[in-house]
Amino acid sequence: MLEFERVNVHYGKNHVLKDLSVRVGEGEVVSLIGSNAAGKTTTLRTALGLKSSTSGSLRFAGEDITRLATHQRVNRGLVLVPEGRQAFVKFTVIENLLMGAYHRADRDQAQKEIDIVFDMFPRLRERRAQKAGSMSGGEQQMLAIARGLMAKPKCLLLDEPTLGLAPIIVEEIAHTVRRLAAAGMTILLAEQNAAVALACAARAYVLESGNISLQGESDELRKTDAIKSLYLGN
Amino acid sequence: MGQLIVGQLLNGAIVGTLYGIIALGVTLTFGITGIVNFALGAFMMLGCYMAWYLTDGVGMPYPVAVVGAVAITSLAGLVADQTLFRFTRNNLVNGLLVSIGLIAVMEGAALLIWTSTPKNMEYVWPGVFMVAGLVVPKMKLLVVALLLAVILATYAALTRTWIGRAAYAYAQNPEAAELMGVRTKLLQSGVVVYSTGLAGLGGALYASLYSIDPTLGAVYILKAVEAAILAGIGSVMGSLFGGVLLGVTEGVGSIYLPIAFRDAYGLVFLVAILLFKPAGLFAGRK
Repeated sequence: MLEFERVNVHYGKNHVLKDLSVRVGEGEVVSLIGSNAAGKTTTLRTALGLKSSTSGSLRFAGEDITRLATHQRVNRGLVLVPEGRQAFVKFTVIENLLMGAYHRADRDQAQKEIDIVFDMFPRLRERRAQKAGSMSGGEQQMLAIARGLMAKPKCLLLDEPTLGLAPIIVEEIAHTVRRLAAAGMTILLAEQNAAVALACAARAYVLESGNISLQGESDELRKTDAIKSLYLGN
Repeated sequence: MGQLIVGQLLNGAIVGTLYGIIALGVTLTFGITGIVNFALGAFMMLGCYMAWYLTDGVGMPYPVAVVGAVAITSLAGLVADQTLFRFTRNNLVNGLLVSIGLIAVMEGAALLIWTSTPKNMEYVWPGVFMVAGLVVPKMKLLVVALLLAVILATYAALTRTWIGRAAYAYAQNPEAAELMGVRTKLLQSGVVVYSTGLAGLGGALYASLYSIDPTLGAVYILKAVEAAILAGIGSVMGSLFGGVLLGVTEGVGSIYLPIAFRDAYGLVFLVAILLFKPAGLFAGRK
C-alpha cells in the first residue's frame, strides 16, 4: 500500500536517508525501529511530503505520489500523527478533532467519527470542551491519534507515539495501536521503544543512520542479538 | 460644547474603524505569514484613488466604484504577493524591507500619475441626521456602519467556517495544519490578498469623506500597527476595539489639548496600556 523505493533524503550536505526501501502492505502493521537521529521521523515526513526526497520514488495505493503536495497526499488517505503530538493548543478537544476531518468531502458529517474516537478514548470525551494545551502529554497523544483517525486514513503513520509518556500510558497507546491493527488499519509505526514496536507490529525494519540494518518478522527480530543488546536492554 | 464632543467622538469612531480595518489586515497577515505588511497604508491610498477615479473620472455610481476599487486593490495585492511577499514568509526583516520598498514605489507612482495636489470627490450622500439637536452627517454614519459590518463578518467567518478554523489552526501550528490537509500556500496568499482588499475598502470609503493625497497611507498604517499592538496581535475584534480607542482618544484629546500633538495622544495611550498589559489588551484571545 505504501512503498519507499530507494529513497534518498538530504538535509544540506547531511545524507539522512540512504537508498531507503520500506514496504507496508494493505492491512499490515509495520514498525520502524531506531535510535535518535536514525531517520525515523525523516522517513515519515518524506512520506507526507513535508520533506522532499532527492531521489527515489514513493508509491501509495498504486499511485506515484513522489511529486504530490502534502494536502494531496492527505486527500488520498495518507495521514501522519506527528512526533510531539502537535495539538492545536488553543483549540478544544472537539475543535482539534474537527480539524482532523478538515480534508474530507463529508466533513460536516463528522459526528459519527467523533463518537467512534470518543468510544476509543473515553478520557477525551470527558475533556471534550477543554483546551488541548491544558491537557497532559498522554492525553495530548491520545488526542493526536484521535485527530489522525478523524481523517479516515487508509494508512496511518505514527511517529514516536509513546515518547516521554509514563509506562501505564505507553501500555494504553500500544493497546490502541493493536486494536486499530485488529480492525484492519494499515499502520507504519516509528518507535524507539523496541518492545512496544515489536509487540504492535508483525514485521519491522531497524533503521541505523539512514540505512535499514535489519528487517524481518517481529518474532525473529526479537531473537537477534542486535535488538536484544541495542533496544531491549539485556 | 456638546456638539463639539459628539462631533469628535464620531470623527474618532470613523477614523478609529478605518484604523481598525487596516489593523485587522495587519493582524491577519502577521498571524498567517509572520510579517508586518507596512504597505497596507499604500494599498489604502490606492483604494482611495481608484474610488475617486472610477466615480469622478469614469462616471460610475459610487457603490460600483467601491466594489471596483476593492477588486483592483486586491488584484494589486495578489501581484505583490506573488512577486514579492511570497519570498518573505516568516521573515520579519525581509518583509519589512519589501513592504517599505513597496510603499516608495506605490507612493511614487501615485505622485507621478495624480500629482501631490489633493483630490476631492463629489459628495456621495450629502445631508445630515439631526439626533437630539446634534448634527450627524449621513455619509459618516454609513461609512462606520459598513466598516463595522465587514469587520464583524470577518470575525464570524474566522470563528464559524472551515476556512476560518483552518486559518486559526495554521496560526497555532503551521505544520500540524498542513498535516490536516490545509492548503497552506493558498491560505497565506489568500490572507495577504484579503488584507489588501480590506485596506482598499477602507480607502474607497475614506475617499467619500476626506480629500486624498498620495501620502495619506503613512499615518493610517502607523496607527493601524499601533491599534493591533494595543489590542494584542492576533486578536480580530481587538483590532477594531484598538482602532476605535485610538481614534476616539485622538479626537477627544484634541479638544482639550493642543491639536498639533493629536498623533501623540494615541501613542501616550498605547505606552500607558502596554505598561500594565505588556501583551496587549486582548492577549491570548482570538
